[in-house]
Parts: sequence; structure tokens; C-alpha cells
Amino acid sequence: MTHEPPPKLVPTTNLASPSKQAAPQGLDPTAKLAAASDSAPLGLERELPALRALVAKLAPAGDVDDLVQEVVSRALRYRDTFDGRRALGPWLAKTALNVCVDHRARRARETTSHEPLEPAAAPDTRVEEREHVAVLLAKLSRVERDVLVRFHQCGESVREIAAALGLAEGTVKSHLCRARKRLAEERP
Amino acid sequence: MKTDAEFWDAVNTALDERRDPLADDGVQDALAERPERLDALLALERRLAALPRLQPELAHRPWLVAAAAAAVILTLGGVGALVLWRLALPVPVDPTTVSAFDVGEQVIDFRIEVSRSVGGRRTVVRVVPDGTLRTQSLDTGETLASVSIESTRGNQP
Repeated sequence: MTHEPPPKLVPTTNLASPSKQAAPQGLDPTAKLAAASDSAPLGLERELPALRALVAKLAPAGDVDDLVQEVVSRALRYRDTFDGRRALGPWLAKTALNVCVDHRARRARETTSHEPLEPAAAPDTRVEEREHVAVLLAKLSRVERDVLVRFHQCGESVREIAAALGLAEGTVKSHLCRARKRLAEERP
Repeated sequence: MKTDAEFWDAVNTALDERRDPLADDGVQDALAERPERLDALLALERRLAALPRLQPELAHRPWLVAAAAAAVILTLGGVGALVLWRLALPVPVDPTTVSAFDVGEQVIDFRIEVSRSVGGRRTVVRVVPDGTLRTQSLDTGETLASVSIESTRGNQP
């Protein structure tokens, strides 16, 4: 699913066709790339705002431009795999997800630590998040809370949790599933 | 089109296997169809990362509670036994600092005498080693009270 990261693009990239290299002035390099290349049939330019918004949710602010550029580059490189009868947005979104996942993997290798995909939160936000999580945990049943903490904080496997609590593994997974869904959707 | 249930199934499967849900093909397809699902997934990821480092609730591990209690009791019992054993041991004596005459020295004789004089009448009470209590009363012109204890230490009774 992941692809080899392409080299970083520069505005003078030779992906553009000669006939369109002179086009739009005043656009950022990614927009120029999308407009100047043979991407017109794809309609990449129209998707750029949504693409940027998606990437901004997944990466630190300082990396967004580079990643959007990488997504466009990858889309152009693999455009032959795009089925023109389908919508471009989902195809581009999936490409963006892959680019962001690869980006996180690269950063994880560099820092040798797991970092959340979303932009790094400020300390105040983290404290707020912890308080929020404490409230959400209190709303879970005792066994859901226990299973969730054991799995995600203590690193116990489903089998270990099942053995410790005297439950079937399927039951543990059900509790985990319910607890995660509530954690994702509940508001404090 | 993937339903919400299918999306969450794919997310849970990835998490159960400790994989990144965003790298999962099924999750990506679901997100590509409806990008707004990403908000819930990111909220989940953020909240899982913010889970407090709690100890799992012990109520579900009665054997662990029993083991911990047994360990505490055994430790306290062991310490107590050790203290009692140490108290029962004779105080070690450095043989180089004790003369031959000191060895086995004990009290071989003692006398306790209590004297009390009131209004010219003096009463003396003596206790001697054989346990006899002797009382003597004398008429004197003085008023006093005193206690004396004498003991004799040696090797021979």
C-alpha cells in the first residue's frame, strides 16, 4: 500500500508539459504543478483545498505544504491507475492518507518514538485532553475501562486480558470495540 | 460504500493487531468515501494516547490480591521472627577484653536494708539472699529514712 517517497518537488519540475509551463502566476508551487502539468483532465486544482484540509488534520502545520506537494506528485505519477469514471476526491484522499502514513513512518524512524499523526498539541491542550479522557473513562463500565487501560496503556494482549479477567477473547474484543467507539464519539 | 459499522470494524481489527488504522486499506477506503470519519478516528487516537497510566483494577484479580497480602504477612512475620531470634542471642563478648576472673561472674551475695525513723523509733527491714525478711525496731532519738542495697559479685557462691 505504501510507495517509495518521491523526491521533493521544486517549481521547475519537468513533470509539466512545455505548452503549459507558462500558465498561472501567483499560485503556490503545488497549485502551479497541478495546473501546469497534464493534470487538467484530472481536475487536481479543484481538489487542492479539500486535499490541504485533509493533510492539515494529519500532519504538523510545518509539513503540510510539503506533503500536499508530495500527494500531487504521487497522483500525477500514478494517474494511469485512476479510473476516470469515478470521483477524483476519494482517490486523491486515499493517496493523501498513504503519503501521511509514510510521513509518520519516516518520522517515527527518525525519532524512534511513536508520534500521533495529528499536529502536536500544545501542553494546555494535552492537559485538557487528559481531563476530557478522565471524564469519558468514568462513563464507561468498569470492565470496559479495565480492558481499555490494560490493552492500550499496559500493553497486555487480548489473550492476557481474557485470562486475567476470566473472559472469552471475543468478549474482551467486544468490550474493547465498544469502549473505543464511545471514546471516539462521546463528548464530555 | 462502506458503512460506519464496517469502518469501525476495520479500525478495531487494526488496533487489536496493534497496526496503524490509517495504514489499513479498508479504513482508507472508508475515509476516502467519507473524510469526516477522520475526525472521530483522530479523536480516538488522541484520547487513547491520553489514557491515564492507571493500574488495572485489582478486583478482577483476586489471586493477585491474595498473593500480595500473603507476601506482606510473610515479610512481617519474617522480620518479627528475626528480631525475636536476635534478642534471644547472648550478647557477644570479645574474649580478648575479659579477664579470667570475669568469666562466669555472678551475684553471689546481696543485702537490702531499709531504715526508717519516726519520732525516735527506728525500724530496719533487711532482706538476705535466702529470702528471709528481717525486721528490727529500735528506740532512738533521731528521725531518718534510708535504703541501702549491697551486692557482692564473684565466681564462687
